[in-house]
This record gives sequence, structure tokens and C-alpha cells, in this order.
Amino acid sequence: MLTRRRLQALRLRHAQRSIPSRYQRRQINHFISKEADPVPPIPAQRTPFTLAVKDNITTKFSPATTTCASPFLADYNSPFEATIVQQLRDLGAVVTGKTNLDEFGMGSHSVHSAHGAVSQEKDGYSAGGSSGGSAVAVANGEVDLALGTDTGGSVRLPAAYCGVVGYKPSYGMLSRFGVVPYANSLDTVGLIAKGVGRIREVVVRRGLWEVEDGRDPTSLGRKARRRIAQGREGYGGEDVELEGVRLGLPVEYNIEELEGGVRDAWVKAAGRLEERGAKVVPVSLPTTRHALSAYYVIAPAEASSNLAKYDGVRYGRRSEGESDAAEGGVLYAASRGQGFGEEVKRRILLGSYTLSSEAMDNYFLKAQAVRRLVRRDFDRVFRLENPLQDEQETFDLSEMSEEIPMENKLGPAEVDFLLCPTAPTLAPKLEDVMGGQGVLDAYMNDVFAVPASLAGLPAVSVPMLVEGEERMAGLQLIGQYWDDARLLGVAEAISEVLGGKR
Amino acid sequence: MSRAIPTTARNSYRHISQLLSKPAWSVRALLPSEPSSTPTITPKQLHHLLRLSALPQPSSPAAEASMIATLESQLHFVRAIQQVDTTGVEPLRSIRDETAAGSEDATISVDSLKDALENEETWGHCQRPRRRRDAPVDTAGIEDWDVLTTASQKVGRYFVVKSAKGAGTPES
Repeated sequence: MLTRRRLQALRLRHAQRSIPSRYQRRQINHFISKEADPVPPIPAQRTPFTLAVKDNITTKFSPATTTCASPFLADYNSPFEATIVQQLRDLGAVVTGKTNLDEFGMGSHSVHSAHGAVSQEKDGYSAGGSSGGSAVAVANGEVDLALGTDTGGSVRLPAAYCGVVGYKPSYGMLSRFGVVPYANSLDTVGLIAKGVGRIREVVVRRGLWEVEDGRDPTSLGRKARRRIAQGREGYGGEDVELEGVRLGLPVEYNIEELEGGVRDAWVKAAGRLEERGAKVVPVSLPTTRHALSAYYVIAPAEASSNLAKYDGVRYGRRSEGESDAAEGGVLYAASRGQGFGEEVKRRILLGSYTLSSEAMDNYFLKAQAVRRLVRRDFDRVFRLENPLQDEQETFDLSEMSEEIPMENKLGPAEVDFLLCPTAPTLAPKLEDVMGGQGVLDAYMNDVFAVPASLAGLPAVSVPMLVEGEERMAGLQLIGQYWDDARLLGVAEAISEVLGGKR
Repeated sequence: MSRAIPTTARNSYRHISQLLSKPAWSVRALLPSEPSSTPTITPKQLHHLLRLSALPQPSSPAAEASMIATLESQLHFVRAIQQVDTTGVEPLRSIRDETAAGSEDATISVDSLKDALENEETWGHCQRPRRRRDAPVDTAGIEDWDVLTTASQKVGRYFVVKSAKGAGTPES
């Protein structure tokens, strides 16, 4: 007869043996569902292109499921399709599949998924997250364009890790109707492609930037779009010159954890752009060092509120038991305990704390005040004004870091764009991420991505070569609100200089 | 001339390289250096938070300790914001058009209700308004889907909530 201890030992050994095979199977997991027979574009005159859709963006047919990589929504069929998917179908998109992600977009390596971790196929590096599946699909050449969502870097980070282009638009530009919300005040729909050109084509030349969606309350109004675009260049889709463009290097993005190779590549890229006539100047964004903490208060708080609707009653899986209540009698807790993954539960709990009456002032409201300071930092360094406010912020020069040279007695140089790395390191090995990294390690990857998200600014990550390693890292370009057209134009010119695909 | 370009290039690399020679700060400093000796979250508080979150209570004392440790480390990570002086800074709640023109666009005026108001007629001594109900309201794309299709359990036209009291037999 087997003793209990012996049984446990056997189980343990079996589990240990089965880890490698399960691991290998998981490595081909960048698609959650694939369309065997994709629907051709309706207007036949359009040149078709293939599109992969992150699985937290609803599709009504072809494929019909939207899982958010959550056990909760394992077989959820949305009754409607996301506006952005519909818009891209109208432009000729053929949706070939739904891609893997961190559950509800919460993660930085696409490992917290009911469908297993995503990996870059050839070498086992982390794909980044949370839109890791979309980035891998583009990097492998399986699709021309992929949709992701970017709450705190979830499009830019995987793009940087996978050596492709990832674009996060200004908050409120692309419709979020049909995108499963994670943190409402931060969520945006982003695009991933091999070159900037394709993204620029759909957003600027085909006019997606112009369309207000009445079904998305965060979509910027039509009048405001026109009004703001009048003070912006590039919406005609014309080519942009690097000559005379002012690029700011934010000194606070030079952190101790920045890998030497990535720092060198950043310096070299800035140098090469200067050769092409761009002006490179240092700038200071002092609140950067608190942005990450503010983000990890605001995003989980909004998530805990957003995810309160998952009770298994109206949609989603419910617990098997006799009652929806867990022990202790909290209704729905059994379903929620089974339906959410560990990282999601951790963030819900954190959010519940920072929103609780005793912590609200010191955490949530404090973080929102820091958020305003982050935006103020950006407004101070950009030459263009923030079009969302009538009264522009004023700044006290005496509080500015003395490392920042003054251009004249009015203050330091103002810039058109900020140039910085997308992530502090190259993509780590997936096994290192999954084996023994603490909960907070992954949060730190977002340090360069969250400031733009907090301020609602457009940002794009283009690949840059890290010499010596012969691998790609991401070079991030951040622009003032609604300067997306010029941002993409300059990004296209920059990737040409850096030898990337157009 | 052809040699001048690499020289300026090297110079520009050098000035940029110099600028970035010294790291400004360390993101690792946000991590707790050691497990906090004075836990601020008590088991009682954890149970309360789990109830607020509608999540199950920990299954064992070990699970409880690990949940508290994780939450503590997350809180340490975010507590850095409390060092920032935000006196007089209004919290930024959302990114939206806050200009005068923007709020004018967003204002609901009599004009924006014109269509609805035109569909009313007044009657009686007090000129009481009454909506004309003969014209069909177009709800295409909004109300033409069956909300019950996504429910895993239903009874007739009702959703099912399995409360502990009913123990398995949903009321209908």
C-alpha cells in the first residue's frame, strides 16, 4: 500500500519530469485561436492585408471567441465586434487569428495566460507583454499588422523585445469600443508591424485618427480632433524631414539598471540622428522616478473596479459548486477564485487596498496628483502646448535639476520629441522570467513606458541594433498630445537611418 | 570635407555619451530590501480586503502569509509616491478635453435635445408634455442582441444566481 508520503513523492517526481515537455508545448503559443478560413475583406477593391488581433479585443466572427487569456472567459463569444477591428476590416484587413497575452493585459512578459506563456520561437526569449502574441506573430512574418492594447507599455515593450515596431496612440484617438477594459483612464489600442510605414498608412493616410466613436465615451470628440489637428503637422501624410527636429534625451531615463548595450545603442542612435540634422538636447523629467509607483497604484485600482463585473452569472465560467458563494459566504467569490489567474487576483487585491477608505487619500488620490506632475513635466519640455488645457502650466526654474543647461534666460531648450529606450534591458530568457523572479521584477520593465501612458501621450518603439549582442532593443519616441502624425513620420525617418524596415 | 563628418559625429557621440555617463537613479531602490519587519497588513485586514474583492479567503495559514507578504511588497513598491510634494496639485483623474471649447462641445443643451423635444406634444391646461409613442425608436445595434445568450445557466428569461441559501435549486 502506498503511504501518503510516498504518494506525494511520486507526484512530485512526475510533476518535475513533465515540466520540460509542458514547457516546450507552451512555446508555440502566440495564437489563442486561428482562423482556418479567414473572411476576405468586404470591399473587394481594397488591397488585402493580414491582421492578428489581441484576444482582449472582441471579434464577432472569424474567430468568434474573445478569451482575454482568462479561464473566466475561456469560451466567451462577444455579441458585437470592436470598432477598431471593423474599421481595419473596412480597410482590407483579413483577420487570421487572436493572439495570446497576459490575462486581461496584466503583465510584462505574456506569461500570465490560461493558454501558456508566449515565447519568441527561435531562441526562447521573453516576448514581452502584455501584447506578446501580437508582437511574435508580426516578428515571425505571419501577419502584416497586429492589434494590441497599451495600458502601461503593453504594445511598446513586446515590440521592443521582438524587434518590431509598436505604436501607442494619443489617449482617446483610436476607439476602445469592444476592447475589454483593464484601467480605463490609461487603456489605448495600439498597432504592431514590421515597419512604421504600415502603421502610418492606416492611422494617418487612411484617416483612422479622424474618426470619433460615439460608442466609446473616452473617444475624443470630432470637433476637438479637428481643432487640435489644426495646430499639428503631418496629418496630410507628407514626408517628414529629420533636419531641424529637436530630440530631447530625458536624463532620468538613464537608470542604473539600464543595460550597457542598450545605453550604447541609445547614444549611438542619438548621434546618428544628430548627423542627419536633428538637434539632440538633454531634458529633465523629474517625476519620472515616481511614475512607475503611481502607475501601479492607478492601474490596479481601476482594474479592481473594472473586474468587479466578472461574477459568472451573465457571462463567463462559473464555479461548479452548489453555491456561487465561497466559504465565508461572499457571493461570487467561488467563481472569481477559479476564474482569475494569480497575477490578476494580486492586482485586484492591491487595488482594493489602495481604494479602501483608510488608504484612498495616501495612495489613489496621491497617485493621481503625481500623475498630474508627470504630465506637467512633459508639457514643460515639449515645444508644442498641451491642447487639452486652455491655461498652460507654468514652471519654477529654480526647482529644475542643474544638470539641464539653459538655452536662454527663459529656460532650457524645448523639444519636439523625446528619444529614449523602450525598456531598460534586452528581452530576458523566458526560463529566467518564469523561474524565481519575484512579483515586482516584471513591474520594473515598464519604467520607461508608463510615463507616456500616465500623460496620455503618443509613443512609438522602433527597433535598434545592440552591437556586440547582435540583438534588437527598442528605441522609444514620445510626442506631445495628438502629435501622432508627425511622431510616426519622424519615427519612419529614424528607422530608415537606423537601418530598419520602412 | 569627407573627413569632417566622422569627426563631428564622434564629437556628438562624445557629448551625448558624457551626458549619459552617470545614472540618475535606480529603479531597484523601489524594491523592499528585506521582508518588512513591521507588517502593516494584518490577517484581519487581508480577510476584509478579500471580501471587498469578492475573492476566496486563503486556504491555509501558509497561503495567508504569502498573500500578506506579496501585498506588503507591492505596497512598498508604490509607497514611493508619498515622498512627492503634491501640495496644491489637483489629482489628474482622466485625460480629456478640459478647454472651454471642449466643455462647450460636451455640454448638453436644449439644442442637443431638439430631436427628442420635437417628438413631444403638450396637452391640457398645464401644457403637460407627452412623448409621442407612435414613431418607432431605432435601437439597431444596441438592443437587438439577447443578453441571455452568454449566460452559462438560465431559467426561462432569468439569470441564475446560486446563493448559499437556495442550495442548488435556483428560484424561478
